[in-house]
Amino acid sequence: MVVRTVRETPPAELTRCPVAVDGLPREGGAVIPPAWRAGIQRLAKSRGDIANQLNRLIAWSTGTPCEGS
Amino acid sequence: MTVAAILATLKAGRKVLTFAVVLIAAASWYVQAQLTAHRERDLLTRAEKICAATAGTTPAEPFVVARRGDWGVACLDRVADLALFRAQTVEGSLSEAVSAMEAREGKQATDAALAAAMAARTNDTLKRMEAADAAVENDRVGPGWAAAVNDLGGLR
Repeated sequence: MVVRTVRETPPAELTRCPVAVDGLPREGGAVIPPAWRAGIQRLAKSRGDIANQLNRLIAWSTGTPCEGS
Repeated sequence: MTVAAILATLKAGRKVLTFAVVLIAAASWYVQAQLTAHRERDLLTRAEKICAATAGTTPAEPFVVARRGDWGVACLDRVADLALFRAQTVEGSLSEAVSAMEAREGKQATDAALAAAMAARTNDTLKRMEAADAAVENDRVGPGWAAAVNDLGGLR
């Protein structure tokens, strides 16, 4: 049996760290009913979870974690 | 028939007897030589097959006795080369497999640490989000609630 380690480097685009975009405005306010607030929170949570997972995958693949992850 | 008579008979046929003895000796020598030659041919055929199986040393022409030494040495070298190659390949494969396993274990440890840190942070932001949401009065949200949402999503 002959063992060879194959190093496959994914395209740079696939290992690009997720960029933190602007979220909700930091001033002012709004009237948002509970169901909408819950929806906004679910969207934010899901975005955060996906970013975390992507960061882990990038760290796994490239060996260096993204900044701030 | 007396002993003397037997002796006389033997004496009379001495030439024939001598010839017979010589003939038997020659015949047995010939058979021995044939057997030896056969065994040698058999051995050489086997050796040729062994060397041919190593590929690369297959003799282009049938075995020539005058070249037996050279050919045998070349064949032996080839077999030794193959044995060495096999040993090195096995060893190389093992070290390659071991280093791949070590790299993988290192990666898993790094990933586990990263995942734990992320889980702790997510837990923290979730708690702050719940607190901010609980503080909302009359569905009126302000900067605090917005900041909690941004933290939860990893937004600025």
